[in-house]
Formats: sequence, structure tokens, C-alpha cells
Amino acid sequence: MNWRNLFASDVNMSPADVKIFMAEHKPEEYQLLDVRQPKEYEKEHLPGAQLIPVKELMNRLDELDPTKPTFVY
Amino acid sequence: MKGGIIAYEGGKAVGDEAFGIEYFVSGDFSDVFRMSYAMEEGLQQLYLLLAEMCEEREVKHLLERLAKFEEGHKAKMKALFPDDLTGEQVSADSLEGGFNRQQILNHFQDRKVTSDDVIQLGMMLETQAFDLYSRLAAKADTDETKEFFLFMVREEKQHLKFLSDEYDKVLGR
Repeated sequence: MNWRNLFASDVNMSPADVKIFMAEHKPEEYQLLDVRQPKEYEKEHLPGAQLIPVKELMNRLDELDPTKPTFVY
Repeated sequence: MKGGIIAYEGGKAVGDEAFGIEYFVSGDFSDVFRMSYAMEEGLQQLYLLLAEMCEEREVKHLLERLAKFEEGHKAKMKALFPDDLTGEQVSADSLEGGFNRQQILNHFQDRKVTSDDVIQLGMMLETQAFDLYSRLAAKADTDETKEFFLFMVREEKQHLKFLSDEYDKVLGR
């Protein structure tokens, strides 16, 4: 797996569409990825989001499932 | 996601990655199950105590329905994992998501509880619980524990849907 193709089929979805997708799918069928800083995550985050700050992403790709749709913010 | 979290209009969780996880440190499935069960129990008791404090019939009724929802959840847990409620009982002072029951009761001590308060409190607690169980599922050591936490995540999602429908009704009045 390579970080360059992890989000290969990326689409910039609106929050409303993400919300609809989440309502229509089981929580284990997708991933929410928070790439902000830990302090920002602590203040507020989407429920169920996984925190991997963007600067750590390259070294922590194995924590993500490349087969699942992943919503990044 | 376009606009990031700022543009997202929906429930958001607070707290760092470890928030609430301290209640589940043992890792033993039976302990994990009993703690989750006690948190459901804690929330059910909170709703019933708030219903006692409340004078408005409609709000009282909503709180009793929410308590019943937790009762149903507990029954489902017992049915799915019948062997895991044995052993020492866990205190029900901690609520779903890791909040403390007394703190919340104190907050409502000297004020009138409205439907809005109840729904927002419920949504906050269920959102935190959804988040906590998701984090626990991601960190689970065994398939059994992971499956249990995912079951809890799905349950919390249903509770949130119920509360969100109730909120729509309140807004639509």
C-alpha cells in the first residue's frame, strides 16, 4: 500500500452526503479519518473518527483499511 | 469531506483518544461486558431520576421512554451474552461515554427540565458512547471483544436515530 494511492478514487463529498452515507451504512463499513492535530480532535471530532495527524499519516497507513470507503477531514 | 468538520452539521464528540477508555483497561471480556452493562444501567437510572425531578408530563413521558430504551438494550445484551453477567457487580455511577451521573443530576438540580434538555443530553451521551465504543473496537485485542464493541456501536447508532427523530418532532411543534 502506498500513501499516494490510498485515496486513489477520491471524491470531495459534502458533509450532508457523508452524513447520508453514514446513516445508510453500518459503522464498520467505512472509516472516518481525522488528520488534524490532537488538540483539535480533543475539542471536537466526528463520532467514531480515527485520529492520525497528517504529518504521521505516511508512517501509520497500516492502521487504515484500504478496502473501506474513508472520509477524511 | 468538503469544508471539513466546521461544515459538518451533526453530532460531534469531545475528548482525546483515551477519554473513557480507562473504564475498560482490564481487557477481559467479562469485565468489559459488565462495565458496558453498568453504563447502560447508569443511564437508565439517570433518565428515571430526571423523570422524578420533572413536573411536565410530556417531558416525564419522554424520559421514561428513554429509560425503557436502555432497558431494551440491556435485555438484548443479556440475551446475546448470557454468561457474562456473573461475578462482582460494577457501580452504575458512570454513564455511557464515560460521564458521571451525579454531575449531570447536579446540573439539573435547580432548573426546570425541558424536552429540549432531555434530547440534547441524550444525544450528547449517545454520541460520546458511539465514539467511545468505536475507539474501543479499533483497539480490541480479540475478535470476541471487537464484535461486542461493534454491536454496541450499532446500538448507539439506533439510539441516536431515535433521539434525532424526537428532536425533529420537538422542532416541528
